[in-house]
Amino acid sequence: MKKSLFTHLLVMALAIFVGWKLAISLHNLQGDTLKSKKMLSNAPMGGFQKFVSDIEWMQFINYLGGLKTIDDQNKDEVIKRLQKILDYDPNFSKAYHMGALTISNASPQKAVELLTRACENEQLKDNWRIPFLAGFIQMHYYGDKPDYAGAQSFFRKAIERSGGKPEDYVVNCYLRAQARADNITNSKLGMLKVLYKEWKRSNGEGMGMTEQSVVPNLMERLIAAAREAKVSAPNDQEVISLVNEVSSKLLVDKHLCPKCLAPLAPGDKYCSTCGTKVQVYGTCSKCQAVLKGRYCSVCGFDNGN
Amino acid sequence: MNEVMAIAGSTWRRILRMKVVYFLLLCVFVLISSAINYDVLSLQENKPLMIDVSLVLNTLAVVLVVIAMTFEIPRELREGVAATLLTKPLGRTQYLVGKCIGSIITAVVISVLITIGFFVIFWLSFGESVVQSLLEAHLLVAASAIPMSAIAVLFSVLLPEMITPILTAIALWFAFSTSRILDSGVGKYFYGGVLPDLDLFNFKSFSMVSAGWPYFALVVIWGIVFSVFALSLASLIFRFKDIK
Amino acid sequence: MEEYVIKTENLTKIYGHLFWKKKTPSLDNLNLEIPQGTIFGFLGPNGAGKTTTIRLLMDLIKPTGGAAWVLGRPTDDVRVKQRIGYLPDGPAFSPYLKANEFLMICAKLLKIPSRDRKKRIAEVLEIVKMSEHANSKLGGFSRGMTQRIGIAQAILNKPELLILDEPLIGLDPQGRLDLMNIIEMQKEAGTNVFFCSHILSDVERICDRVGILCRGHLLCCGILSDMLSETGFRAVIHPGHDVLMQQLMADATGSTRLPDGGWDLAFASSEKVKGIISSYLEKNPESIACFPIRESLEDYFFRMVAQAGHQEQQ
Repeated sequence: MKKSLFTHLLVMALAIFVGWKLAISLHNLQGDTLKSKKMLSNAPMGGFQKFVSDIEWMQFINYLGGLKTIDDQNKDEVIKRLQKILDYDPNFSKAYHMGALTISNASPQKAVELLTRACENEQLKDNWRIPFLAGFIQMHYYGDKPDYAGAQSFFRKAIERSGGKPEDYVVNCYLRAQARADNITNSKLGMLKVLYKEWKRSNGEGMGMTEQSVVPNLMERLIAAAREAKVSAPNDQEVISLVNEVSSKLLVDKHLCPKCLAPLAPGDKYCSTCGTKVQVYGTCSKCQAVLKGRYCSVCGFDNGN
Repeated sequence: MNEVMAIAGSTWRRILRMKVVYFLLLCVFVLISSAINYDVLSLQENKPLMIDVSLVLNTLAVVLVVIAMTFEIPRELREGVAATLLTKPLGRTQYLVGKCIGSIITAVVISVLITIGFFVIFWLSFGESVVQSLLEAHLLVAASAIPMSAIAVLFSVLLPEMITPILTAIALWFAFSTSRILDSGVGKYFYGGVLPDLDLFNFKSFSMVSAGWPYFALVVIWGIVFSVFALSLASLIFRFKDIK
Repeated sequence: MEEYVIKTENLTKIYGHLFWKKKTPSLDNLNLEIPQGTIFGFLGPNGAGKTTTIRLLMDLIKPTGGAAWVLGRPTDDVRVKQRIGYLPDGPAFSPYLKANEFLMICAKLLKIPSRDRKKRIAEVLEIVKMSEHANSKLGGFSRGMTQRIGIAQAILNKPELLILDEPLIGLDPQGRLDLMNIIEMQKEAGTNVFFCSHILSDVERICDRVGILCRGHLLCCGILSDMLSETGFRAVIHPGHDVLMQQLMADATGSTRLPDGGWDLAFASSEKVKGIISSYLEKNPESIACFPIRESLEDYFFRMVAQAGHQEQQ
């Protein structure tokens, strides 16, 4: 009997120790896997948080359907319901979208607060719409005091999360926010300035640390912006000065018309857009035929690499 | 082992012979299927809703089987069925282990049936086949029957018949929140060894991250280790109990 | 082989031994030794402690004091139960199981080899005359049918010791006769039987030894024939000895005329009558046959219980 009792107690003690160690490891492992778990509400829900969130969501939709508008009288209730949904399911991206849009008029700061929380959720790190929405609200719903710097930061995040293929309107919003943050009102010049600033930042020029640009096809956008700025204000000294600076630094080997920055084809002697005489390139040094490769297809001359 | 499986067999036979079990399964499938109609009410969130309904009903089914065990053991003790069995060469520990295993097998069978039913309904509704993370989430629910059954057996032995089912249900409810004590001083030493954390089996989420089969294996092992503790404690109490 | 199939030493059971509960003594220093090859009847009024004793022997309850051994092993030895068959008072089985399923579970628990299980189950069902109900659910059985299944599971493993708690309750007269036959069959097969019953006539019929328990105390225990005292004797007088008959008639407490013309006379113990018969027998050896009259077990039982009651009052 005593031996059996001792065995029992030993087995129990061993099981407690091993169970404790294993549970701690699993808890940490689960936390690493479900990073949004720490954002969950502390209320004991028997593991049914997600389901309760779904029920609260349907009730929320139903509640919203009964409202004519969201104003100061009911915004707190709306926010409270939304908060509850998101406390029980921090990964509910549709709730973030729709909820933020719903309250963006009545309480834009709260909307941005919710979306910021969503941005911190590692489980939603691939969702670009959330930061985009936050930036959008900061730019357009903050009344007299839009937060362009904040919006720029959100748009940047949205572009980073787009997996290398951001939507054009997202990139444009980012650039626009940056321009507004720098108090640039002229849109064409502003776009050029912003893109140039972006390029300088990505090349570490006078901006401190090098930061990779999030704007895709930066060079093409720069060229297009420079062209548009020059066309829209050909006599503006600031425009001319900036375009020249950009051209001299970036566009030297881009085969562009020096006047209108239109792209030149190999063999062009004059710009087809503005008629300016240009430096010919891409021709055979012997017979001036357009080269298709190393050897001239007309005279067979070896033009080297 | 034969003796343990003989007791387990009588347990699952009892539950699986109850016609109400199949009726409840039918209700579960109907409820899961009905989620497809909530596309308007949920703003096209009916797919995650269906998944959540399935996981919740799966969990509830497992809990119901486990709660049934809290009725079974006291009833057998009261009616003398346990006495008849314990006069055979069957240790009291073996009896409890048999009951626990019977409950686990029954819960797993019912959970697997619900899982299969869900995947069929999901495929018919949305044309999507089995995704690993979804499968893992359902199987984790089934695996949670292991520590739950052990808790039920322990409470059946420890507590009076009248309050056992209620307290077991309450304990299971709060066992999903045990990780909160990790922030406390002394409490964290009880975590996982003495106090179970059923939330380790909780991977219910649509934006699902796969737990991974190694995690699954580890959590099943933890469930077994915890069950060893609970059954040892139950056996220690049970061996000194008078069987009427 | 063990000398005693059942042995207890100061076996005591007090219910409610925890300090906040009312103490109810059920068994007080029971010392019992039952040798091999016995059918032992354990008797006592209601609440005497018979069922408590059996439960202690089967390790269903734990003793407050003392110890007990069954087939030479302590009662908490699980392995010894493989050699015991037990029928509880009012057996209860899982109602959702069929009879053969339940017996199959018992067979597995009793470690009967798998190849022999079905055959043995069929045999015991045949013995208890329940073969036609093999596939019926236990929940639908009557009291008597349940009792028969109880007997079946008790003899399933051909036990060395059969412990039966009120086995005759719930059985119809045919059922009781069948059970008595089963018990005798078991005895012939070498099985020891220990059983409690209130039906003293049946106990008297089949038991070799009895023990009487009253309020947790063992009043007496021993060979039945030794315990029942002689209260008189019968003399069967063959026809043609009317002289003797007339001499004895005056002292006879009862008389019956036999079909062959002889007489069956009953006498209280009397030296005078014995003397007359002895002297007559010297001359006529085959004239009379004498048989002792012993008190019935029932009378003995009531006498012992009454004595115990008086002693307690004193």
